[in-house]
Amino acid sequence: MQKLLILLCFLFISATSAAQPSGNNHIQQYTTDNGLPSNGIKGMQWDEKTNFLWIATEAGIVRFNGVDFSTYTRENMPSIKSERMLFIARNNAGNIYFSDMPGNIFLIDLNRPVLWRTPPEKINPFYSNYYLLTVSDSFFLKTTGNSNNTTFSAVTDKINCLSDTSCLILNGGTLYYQSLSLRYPKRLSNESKSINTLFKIGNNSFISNYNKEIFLLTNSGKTLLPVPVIHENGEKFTGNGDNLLYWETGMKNPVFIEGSKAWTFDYADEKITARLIFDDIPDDAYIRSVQYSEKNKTLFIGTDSKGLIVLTQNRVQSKKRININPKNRNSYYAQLELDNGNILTNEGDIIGDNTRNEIPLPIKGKFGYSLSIIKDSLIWYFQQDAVLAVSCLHMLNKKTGLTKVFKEIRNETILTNTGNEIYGVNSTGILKFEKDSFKYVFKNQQKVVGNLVYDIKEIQPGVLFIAACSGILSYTVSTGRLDTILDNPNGCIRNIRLYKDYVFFGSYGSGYFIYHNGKIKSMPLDKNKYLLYTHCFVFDNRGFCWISTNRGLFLANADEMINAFENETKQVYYHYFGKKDGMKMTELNGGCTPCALELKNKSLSFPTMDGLLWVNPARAIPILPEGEIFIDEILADNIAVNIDSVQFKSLPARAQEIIIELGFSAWCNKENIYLDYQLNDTTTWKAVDTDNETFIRLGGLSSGKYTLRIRKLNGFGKDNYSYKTIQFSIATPWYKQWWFYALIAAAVLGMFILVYRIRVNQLEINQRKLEKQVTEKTEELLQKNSTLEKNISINNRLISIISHDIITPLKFLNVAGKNLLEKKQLMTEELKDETIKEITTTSKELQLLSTNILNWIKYQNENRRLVKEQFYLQEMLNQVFSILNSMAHQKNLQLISHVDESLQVTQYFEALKILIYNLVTNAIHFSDNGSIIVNARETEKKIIISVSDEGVGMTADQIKNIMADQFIVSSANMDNKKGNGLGYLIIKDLLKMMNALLFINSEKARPDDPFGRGKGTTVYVELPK
Amino acid sequence: MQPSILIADDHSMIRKGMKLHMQLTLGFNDIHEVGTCSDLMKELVKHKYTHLILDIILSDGSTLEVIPNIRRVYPDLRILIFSMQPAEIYGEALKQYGINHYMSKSVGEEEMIQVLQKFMHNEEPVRLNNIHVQDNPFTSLAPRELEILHYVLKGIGTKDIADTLNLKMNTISTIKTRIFEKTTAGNIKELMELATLYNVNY
Repeated sequence: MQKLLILLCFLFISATSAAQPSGNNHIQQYTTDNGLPSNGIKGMQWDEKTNFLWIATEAGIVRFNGVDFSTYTRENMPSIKSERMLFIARNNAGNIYFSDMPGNIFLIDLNRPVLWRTPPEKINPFYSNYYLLTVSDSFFLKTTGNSNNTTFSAVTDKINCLSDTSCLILNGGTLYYQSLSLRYPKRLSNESKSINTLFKIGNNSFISNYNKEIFLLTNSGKTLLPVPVIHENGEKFTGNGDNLLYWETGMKNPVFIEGSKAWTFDYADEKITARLIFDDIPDDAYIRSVQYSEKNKTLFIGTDSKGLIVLTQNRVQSKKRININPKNRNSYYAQLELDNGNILTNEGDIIGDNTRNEIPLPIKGKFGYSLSIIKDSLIWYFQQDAVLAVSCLHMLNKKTGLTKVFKEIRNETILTNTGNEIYGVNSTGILKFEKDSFKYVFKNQQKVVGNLVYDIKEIQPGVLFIAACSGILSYTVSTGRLDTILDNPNGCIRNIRLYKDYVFFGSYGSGYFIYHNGKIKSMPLDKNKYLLYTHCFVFDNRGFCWISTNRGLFLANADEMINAFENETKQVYYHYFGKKDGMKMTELNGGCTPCALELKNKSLSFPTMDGLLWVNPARAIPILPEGEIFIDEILADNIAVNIDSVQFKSLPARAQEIIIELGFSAWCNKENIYLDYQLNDTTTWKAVDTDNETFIRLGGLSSGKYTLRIRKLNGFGKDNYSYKTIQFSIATPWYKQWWFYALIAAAVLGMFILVYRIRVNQLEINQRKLEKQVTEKTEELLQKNSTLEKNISINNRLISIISHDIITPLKFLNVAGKNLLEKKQLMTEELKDETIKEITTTSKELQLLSTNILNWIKYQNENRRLVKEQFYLQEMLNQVFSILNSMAHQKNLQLISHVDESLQVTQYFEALKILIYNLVTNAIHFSDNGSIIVNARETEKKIIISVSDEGVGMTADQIKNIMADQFIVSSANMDNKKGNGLGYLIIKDLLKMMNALLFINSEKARPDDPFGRGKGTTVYVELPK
Repeated sequence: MQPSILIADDHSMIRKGMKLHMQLTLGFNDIHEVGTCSDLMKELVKHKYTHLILDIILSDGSTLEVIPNIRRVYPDLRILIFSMQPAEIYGEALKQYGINHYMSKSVGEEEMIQVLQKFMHNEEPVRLNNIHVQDNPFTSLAPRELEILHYVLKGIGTKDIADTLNLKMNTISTIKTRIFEKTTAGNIKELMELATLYNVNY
C-alpha cells in the first residue's frame, strides 16, 4: 500500500510537472500553405526583446509574430539581392544579423531588417570572416578584408563567443581558438573529428563527443571538464542519437530532441540537468534550427523541408470521457467531483485522469442540469425515478448514503441554504425545505411562475438572489418580500456569484452585471462581445476571475472588474483562452448548477459541448499581448514611404489612402489584442481590426499636420498600454498652395481682362463697322438729300431771285421812271443822269439774269434731248462776244479771242455757248480793266478752252466753294462782286452734260493796287473730243 | 436839325428808288447808300445819321447779326427795316431790339410813303391788323432763331453756322430743334417749303 502511494505520487508528479501527458501541447505546423514563403528553413533566431521569431528561408527573411509572417524579399526590400538566405546569427550583444547569398549583411532593427554592410568584392561569404558576426560587431569589422581567405564558415561551423574579440570555433570536428590578435585560428584539439558539437549554456561553453560525453570548456577552450547529464529526477540522462543537441549562438540553453521528446539543458552545480519540455514532437522531420522561448513555453523547430513547427505548452486541458460511447451525449452540464479526483457528469460519464481506482458512484445514471450540494453532505439533483417514470427531485445524504425522492417536486429546482434553512427555486415558485418536505413560500407570483430560473444564492444573511429569465429577484427570508433587482434583461440571467461584497450575474445574451450596495450595472465586454453569453464566474485565490462563455474562457482581474463597476471605466482586460491554449472545444456550457467545479486540487472544471475543460489557475499563465508597437510600413496610396528617416514624415499631397502597417508580437490568441488609434484626437479611440493583417487605414485626409497615436493593451491592470506616436504631414498640394491661388486669381483676372478686351475690341470693331455703315448710309442719304435739297433749293432760289432780283428792281425801275416822268422839274440834272444810268444798267442786268434763268431752266429740263453738232469754235465765240461786247465796253474791257479759226468742235453747241457766255460774263463782272482773252488748244483727246481776265482774282477758298458739289447759289444781286451764283450753277450743269472738266487758276489782287488789279483768273474748260 | 438818312440795301436800283422817294416825295436830301454790312458799319462810324433804312439781307450777310450792335452803339439812331420778308415774322422779332418800324418791299407806293413819313417824323408805326399772326408758323420764332433759320434755309451745316456765328454746335442744334418744333416742320425739305409758302426768304 505504501509502495502504491509512492507510485501514485510519482505518477502525479510526472503528470503535473515532468512529463506532460500526451495531447497537452498545442502543435502548429506552418508551411507555404499557411503563410511561410518557403518550406526550407536555413536558420532561426528568437528575439526576446521583441518576441519576434526571425526565420531565414530560401525565399527571404521572415518575421513571425505568432499570427502573421512578414516576409522581406527583394520585392519589398530592394537591398536584398538574393532571397536565398545564407545564415542568421546573433552576436554576444544580442544583435541579430543575416546574410543573403551574395553576402549582403542585414541587421534586425527591432521589427525589420536593415542593410548593414555590403560585401567587399571577390568575397565568398560562405568562407569568410562572416562567422565572426556571431561574436561581435567589432571583431567582424576589424577582421574584414584581412582574413577573407579562410576555411571557417558562418553556415556550417559552431562558434562560441568568449569575449568581444575571441571565440571558439568547431570546424569539421576540430576545435579552434580565434582572437583578434591571431592571424589564423589556433587549433586546440588533436583528436580530429572527435567533437560532435559545441554549445553554450549561459556563459559556459561545452562540447560533446561522439561518446555522448559532455565537457565543460574552460581556459579559453584549453581545459575540458567532464560534466554529467541528469534528468530532473536525478536519473542519468542518456540520449541515444548523435547530432540531437540543438544550439545556436544567442541561445541560453541547448535543446535536445530525440524522437518525440525535447529537453532543455540547464547547467548548475557542475551538472547538466535535462528538463523535458515537450513529448509530442512530430518525428520524421529533418531539423535545421531550434529556438525555445522559456517565457512563452514555446518551441520552434525549423525543418529542412517541412516548414516551421511551433509547439506550445497548453494552458488549459480539454478532457474527454474515457469510455467512448457514441450513444451518449458528450455535452455536459452538472458535474460532481468524485473522491478519486475524477468527475461524474450529468450524462453519467466519468472524466478524469484517475483511471486506476474505480470507486462507487454516488449517483447512478443520468441526472438533471442542476446539482446542488448543501453543507457538503446533501446532494440535491433531479433524476427520473425508475419506479414513477417521472423526473423529480432527489436528495442524497452523503453521511447516511440514503437517497430521498421528492415526488411532488417535478420542476428542475436549484437549492441553497441560509443558515440552517434550505430554500429552493423552480419555475413554480420559491420553496422552503422544512421537516423533510417542501413548502412554496412564493407561488403564483408572475415574476417567478412560468419563468425559467437558473440560480439562487444567499447574498447576505437572510437575503436570497434568484437568477431568472425575467431578471434578478431578491427574496428576503424574514419578511417573505420579493424585490426586483433587474427587470427584463435581453437574455436570461443564469448565474449568481458572490465575490467580496459584489454580486456577479452572468446572462445569456446581455453580458454580465455586477450588483453592489443596491446598484446594478452592466459591465464592459471584450472586443468580440463573447461575454454577452457569460456562463460562470470562478474566482481563484490570486484574485482573478475565470469566466466561461459560449466562445471560450476568459480570465480577468477581479479588482479590475470591481474598479470598472465603481468607476464605470469602459475597458477591462479579459484575457481570452482558446484554441492556442489547448482548448479543443471553445463552446463552454452554462445554465447549469454548478456552472463550474472547483476541484480539490484547485483546478477548475468547466462543462463544454465536448467534454470538460480543466484549468489549473497556477499553471495557466496567460501569454499576454504585451510588447512594443512597431510601424512596419507606411503606404501612401500604395507607395511605401521611407520610414528610416526622421520621426516626422512628410507624405505627398493628394494621398488618398494612408495605410500604416503595424508590427507587434501576438503569441496569444488574436482575441487578446486590443489596438486602438486616435488621429489628432485626444479623447476617443478607434479600434483597429487585428483579425487579419493589422493596419490602420486613413483615408480622405486633407493636407496638414497629423499626430497618430496608437495604443495596445498589454494585459491586466489599469491603463496598461503600449503607445506609439507618429507624426506626419500631408503636403499641401500644389493646387492648394497660396501661389497657386494667386496664380489662379491672376489667371482669372487675366482671362477676365482678356475676355473684356476681346469683347470691347469686338464691340469697338462692331461699333466702327456700324459707324462706318452709318456714315456710309448717312453720306448716301445726305447725298440724296442734298441732291433733293439742291433741287428744292434751286427752285426756291429761283423764286427768290425772281422776287428779289427781278420783281423788286423792276418795281424801283418803275419808281425811277415815274419820277423822271412826273417830277422831272424837281430833279437836278445830276440826279436825272444818275437815275437814267441806273435804269439802263439795271434793265441790262435784268435781261442777262432772265436769260440765264431761262438757260438754266432749259438745260435743267431738256439737256437729254440735245444732239452734238460739229462747229467752229470761233464762230460760236463771235456770237457770245456780240452779246457781251457792249457790257465789256461799258467797263472798258476788251474781249479778245486767240482761238484758231479752223478749230472745230463736236459738242452741244448751245450748251457750250452758254458755258462760254457765263465764263466771259463772270470775267467781265470781276474785272475793271484790261482784256478778257479766250483761247483754245487741241490735244489728242481733248480740247481745252481757257477764259482769262485781269480782274480781282479769287481766293483758294472761293475756288473751292465754286468747285464744291454743295455749292449753293448765293443771292444773285447784280452788283455783287462776289459772283453770280446762278452762273456757276449753270456752268456746272453744262459741264456735266458735256462730260467736261473745269479748272480755275487765279491770283487775288494785290491789296496795294489802287485799281484792285491782280493777276486775274484763268478758267480752263477741258472738253473731250 | 436836318435828318441824315442812310439806305442799306443790296440792290442799287432799290436804293435809287428809295432815294428818289425820300428826296422828291418827302423832301429829305441828306441821303446816303450802302450795299453791304461792312460798308454799313463803316458809314455809321463816318457820319452821324439820324435814320437808317435797312434791308435784312445784304450781300455779305444778314443785318440781324449787326442790329444788336447798332442798337447798343447808336441808341438814338432810328431804324426802319425794309425787307421782302413778311412783317408779321420779322416785325415781331425785331421789336425785341426796340425796332418798331418795319416795311415790306411788297407794299404799295402810297403805303410806303405813309410808313416812311411816320418813320421820318418819329411817329409810331401803324399796326397791321389784318395779319393773322397765329397762322404763320414762323411768327413765334425769336430773333436768334430767325437768324439761325436764315442759315438753315441756305443749306449751311450746323458746324459752319457755329463757326460763322462763333457759337457752340450744341447751341445751334438746340436752336435748330426749336425752329423745327415751332414751325412743326419734320425735316429741312418741309421747312424750306414752309419758308417759301410763307415768303420767309433769305
